[in-house]
Amino acid sequence: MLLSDAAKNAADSIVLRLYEEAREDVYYYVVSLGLPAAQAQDVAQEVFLKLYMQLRQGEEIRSVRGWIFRVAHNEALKWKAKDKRLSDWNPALEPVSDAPGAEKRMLQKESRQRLNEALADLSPQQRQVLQLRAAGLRYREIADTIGVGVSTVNEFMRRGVARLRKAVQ
Amino acid sequence: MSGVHSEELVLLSYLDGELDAKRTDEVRKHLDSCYECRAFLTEARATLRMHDEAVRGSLPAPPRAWAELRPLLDDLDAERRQLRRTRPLFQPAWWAAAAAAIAMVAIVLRLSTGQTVSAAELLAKASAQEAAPAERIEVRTSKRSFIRAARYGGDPELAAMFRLANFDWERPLRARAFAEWRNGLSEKHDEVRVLQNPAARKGSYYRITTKTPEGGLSEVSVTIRAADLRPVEERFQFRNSEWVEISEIADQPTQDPGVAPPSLAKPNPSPAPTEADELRVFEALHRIGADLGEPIEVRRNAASVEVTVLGASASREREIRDAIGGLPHVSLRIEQPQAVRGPGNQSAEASAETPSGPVHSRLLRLMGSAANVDAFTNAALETSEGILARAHALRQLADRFSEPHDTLVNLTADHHRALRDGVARLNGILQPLTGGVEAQRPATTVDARALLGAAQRLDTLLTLALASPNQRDEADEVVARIRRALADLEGASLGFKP
Repeated sequence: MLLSDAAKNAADSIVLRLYEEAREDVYYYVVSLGLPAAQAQDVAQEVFLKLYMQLRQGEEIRSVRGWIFRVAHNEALKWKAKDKRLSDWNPALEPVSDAPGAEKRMLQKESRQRLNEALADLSPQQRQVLQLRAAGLRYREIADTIGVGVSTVNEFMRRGVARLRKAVQ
Repeated sequence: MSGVHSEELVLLSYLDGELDAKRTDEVRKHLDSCYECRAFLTEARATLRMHDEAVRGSLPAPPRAWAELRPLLDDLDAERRQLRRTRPLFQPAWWAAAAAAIAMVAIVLRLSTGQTVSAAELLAKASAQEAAPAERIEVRTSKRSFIRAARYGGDPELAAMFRLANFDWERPLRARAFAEWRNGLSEKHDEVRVLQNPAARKGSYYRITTKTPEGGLSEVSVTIRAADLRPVEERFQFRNSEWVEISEIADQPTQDPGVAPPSLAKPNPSPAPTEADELRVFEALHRIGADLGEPIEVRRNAASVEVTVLGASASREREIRDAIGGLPHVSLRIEQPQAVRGPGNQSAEASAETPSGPVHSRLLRLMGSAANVDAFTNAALETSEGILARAHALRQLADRFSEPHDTLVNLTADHHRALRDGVARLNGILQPLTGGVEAQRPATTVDARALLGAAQRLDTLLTLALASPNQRDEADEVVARIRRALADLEGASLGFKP
């Protein structure tokens, strides 16, 4: 009993801490894959419940952050497979305004528009890699999430950055 | 060009702290003396920062406040306790009930069943369960295959391999031996899958696969029958790329090959599956668009039409199950590839570099901007790939089926129509480069093999011309080749007779 209490406490604290830290990142990643905001928030929350289940079953998880995003990624794809109307988020269609998220640095409206257009031109994998990087994931974790090798992640990054760089120059 | 390309890869890795200390140091030294790399780094950093801000700025914020997680976790624990109380531990019946109950929770949580069972738990139960071990086993390696008594350790060469890898070769197909090996690893990754009617076996099975970077074995998997938790099959992947497969020679009635494999809807005990059965599988797959290059293998043998699906998503898997589940004589096998594929496995990498040859220059002139060239390239290659998929599908149908069945005629017509549309579309896309091509119906009829050949030739040419960095051939020459190949393909698609 003591042992299982300890196991529960350990799992509790890991999951609760990560939930605080990473839920928004997971949410934004899922939204960027094309899920409506409300659904994306559900998915983001569920991912942490799954993580908890996994840990409580004594399953070892090599890289927890990578795991979280991989599960979120798969969940999003499942939703999209079910609902064919959902498609990837298209940044080019977003109105460029003084969005609350751009608090730190006001971007020029024009270059922002160009950036959004360039973003829309990226391949889905390039976009995902950049998104996951923005969420603070290491290349290894990104690789695990989208199911490719680390050097492929590096390559997607390079191509993504090259395109965006051209757009904002 | 490729120099710059690989430099950028290193610089980005440097920027993200992905290099080891030695390489980081090297890059730092290099940066001191290289203005270009410094400039790249500064721009890349700014670009990435803009990206991060822009993305967050344009995505909708979470619509609700975040739920308190702790009560939900406690709920989950309560459910788990409930599960445990229902039956005593270490009984297969308990396990089956738990699996079912977990599956229910899974629906609520939309968990994939593959992740709900822990390898450690399953192995512990199977070890506790272990009754009479296998009497005789079949051993297969890359070089030979033989049958031996399970208890006889013989074969010094294999025995040595296993000893070196710390795996007890004297106890094949024993959960405990697997568990002991697994417990000895400090770094490992487990995967548990539930298999329904895997190759030549009936019923539900668990397959535990453990991968590790340590020791002589890189991956071992054991297949355990769900009904009594008996290991029936093991596969050992050695790090030197040798492999060994061991399976139980069934003396039990459970593997009677005379019984037709599962068909839930209408059990049909008639013996061998026919060509019509196989065709029905293709028809069902076609209905859900699963006959266009998805990794699905269809094999007809004496007992059933075996459909093996590799690496489908859970929802796709369900669709495939639904589509072919009710068909007679069909056994479905789902396999999941490793979670992480090695580099070089990605076709995307092949087209990684920016083309710079004469063809590219011409395209740039014609299209006005690099972005337009990219869009053109993507559209052309995607369309060509679609054509190839159709040509493959036609070839497959032609190779497998001979009787002029209605279904076959419809399937063929469907693919043929889509292929012709694709060719017309590709002609349109390539028009700025080729000036458009008009083909003539060839004098002789074209079979599926020739059609596929024509599609492959054009696809190869396009890939070389549009997505290869070192294509130095004269633009006129390349365009002429593409024109010829396109006209050939168009002709072939008109003259195709199944």
